[in-house]
Amino acid sequence: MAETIKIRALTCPHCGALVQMRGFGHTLSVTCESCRSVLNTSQGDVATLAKVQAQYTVQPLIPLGTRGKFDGVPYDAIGFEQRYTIADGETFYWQEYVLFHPYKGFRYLIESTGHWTFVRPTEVLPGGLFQKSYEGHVYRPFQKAVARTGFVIGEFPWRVEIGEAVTMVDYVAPPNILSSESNASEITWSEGHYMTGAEIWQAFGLKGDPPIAVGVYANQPNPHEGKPAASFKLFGVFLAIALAVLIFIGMTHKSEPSYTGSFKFDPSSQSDQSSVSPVFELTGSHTTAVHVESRAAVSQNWVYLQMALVNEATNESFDFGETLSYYSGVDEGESWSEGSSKQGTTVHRVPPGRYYIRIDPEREREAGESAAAGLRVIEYKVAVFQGVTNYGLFFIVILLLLPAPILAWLRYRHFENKRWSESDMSGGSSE
Amino acid sequence: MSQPRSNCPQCGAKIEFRWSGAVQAVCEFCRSILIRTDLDLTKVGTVADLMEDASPIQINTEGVFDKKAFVVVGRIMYQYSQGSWNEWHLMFNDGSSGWLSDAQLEWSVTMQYASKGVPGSPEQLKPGESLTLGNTEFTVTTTTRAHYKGVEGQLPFEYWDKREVMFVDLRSHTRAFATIDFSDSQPLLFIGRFVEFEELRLTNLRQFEGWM
Repeated sequence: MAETIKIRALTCPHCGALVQMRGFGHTLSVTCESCRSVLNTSQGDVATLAKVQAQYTVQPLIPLGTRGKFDGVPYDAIGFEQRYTIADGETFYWQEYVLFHPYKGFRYLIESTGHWTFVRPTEVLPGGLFQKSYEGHVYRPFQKAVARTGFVIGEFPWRVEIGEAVTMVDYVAPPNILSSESNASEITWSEGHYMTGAEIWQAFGLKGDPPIAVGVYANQPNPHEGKPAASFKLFGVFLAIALAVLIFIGMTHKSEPSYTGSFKFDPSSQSDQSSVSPVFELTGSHTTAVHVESRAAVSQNWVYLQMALVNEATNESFDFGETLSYYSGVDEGESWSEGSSKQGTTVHRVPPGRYYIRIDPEREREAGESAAAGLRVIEYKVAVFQGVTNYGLFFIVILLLLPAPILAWLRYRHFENKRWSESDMSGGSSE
Repeated sequence: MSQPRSNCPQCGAKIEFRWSGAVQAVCEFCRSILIRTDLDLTKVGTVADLMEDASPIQINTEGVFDKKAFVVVGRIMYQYSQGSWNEWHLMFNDGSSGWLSDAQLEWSVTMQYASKGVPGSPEQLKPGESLTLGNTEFTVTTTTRAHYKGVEGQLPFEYWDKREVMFVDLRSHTRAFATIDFSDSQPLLFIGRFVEFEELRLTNLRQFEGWM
């Protein structure tokens, strides 16, 4: 059986304390727990890399040596560093943890104002110049900063230098983040995904409560993601239902006609066959739809009615036409019929007032038709109904339904605005 | 076909070539580096103690890559400013050979290819420059000046007594990976891809205290 690799320990050349290394041979820098000297282990022997870090002390929220589980894989927290960047004269701090698994390698946890990101190095180069594409996601540039190492404790698989500066660029596709770190000689990429403090506490089995997350973080998922779309979809469904109900009512519910009249049309007559109804009243204070129904006693016959609904006071005219026809017979033993002796037209947005209707019937003799058939007298009826389709009600329904999707959209945008207000990349505000 | 075997000219120990293409072997007992000319072995040097490292791989570790089983038969170890890494020589069950790279537990498997189209010197391959190898467009990500630290087991070519070696690593928009070794007059080209540790289904690994 294979030998077991033991956890190594070395003696701090600065204070003589014993320093353990959980990262085995991967650890290149380790801090002494008692005097906080940074020790370099890369050459096998140990040299004091940096002087004692007496300037300030930061207590890691996750005690080093704690084992946590991520997607079922255990990792030891073995290193902790506080990094900072200076922007507009202000210093911003964040914390990073080195996580180690002896076979799967290194992962990192970044904590900033109570927000957490689980990070792994990437092997695949992202595409794109300004926006980056990586594993099917488009990442938008979020911020660029010079990050410096402030305080370190524990073990690192690289040589730690206090004050070491790298240029960091973050690209976000919440909950994912893509980051590059570059110095003069190389550029390295890593990918991360957002985690809540509660998830971190659970992963490591930590006691107490995680720090409360402040503000909106670069790759924090928008809690309103997808809600505006869902809300607008629901709005559309309600709108369709309302429309269907209104059409149904309009089609089935008949009020008393405002006017009915019966007429006769004699195609053989040389005189003007147009008829004019007496004046009738269309009531109300708003425009309404007016339904004009016409029936003609046509059998193996047809008639065309050219109609005009005319406002007596303004002479405003709504013109429309209707063909009424009915033919039937028996063909090869099967009876058939076509056409309809009853038609209806809805005239929209008719203002209230006094109206009359003028009807101009037309019928031409068909080729091969007998004079008797072509010149039969046709009786027809016209009825005018004031529409019950109340569009005012329809608009009230829209007004009642619309605030929900608009609010959902505003909440979504508000969160995104808070996120991008922290961005220093101009591309952030463009959406 | 029986495996070629011979004896160490230094200490007489049995040297068994597990891979018929092996050119170089290290005697497990006296650490002599032996070069094979047919089955006559010539001692060309001695391996110093390999630096204690934490690679989970060892000689005789077995695994699977692209549905082909392999066994680890050799190793080259390098050291650079940010630590060390290992190139483990793999013998596949179809007789071909490959390399499993363990760079701080970032894993890749590569095969050696004819170095056609590769510039003769690393100066022509600065980070950020692109190079098409096969059908894949690669970008130079790092150039590493490393120290050859030692060898172990059996290798497909003579590789000993190196001092400083230049490596150029190239990545792509897929998991494809390439590395060029400029330690010789002719650059050595290796192309392959990054792998997840569990993907290789490795057995006979080294064990770690606290992780068993």
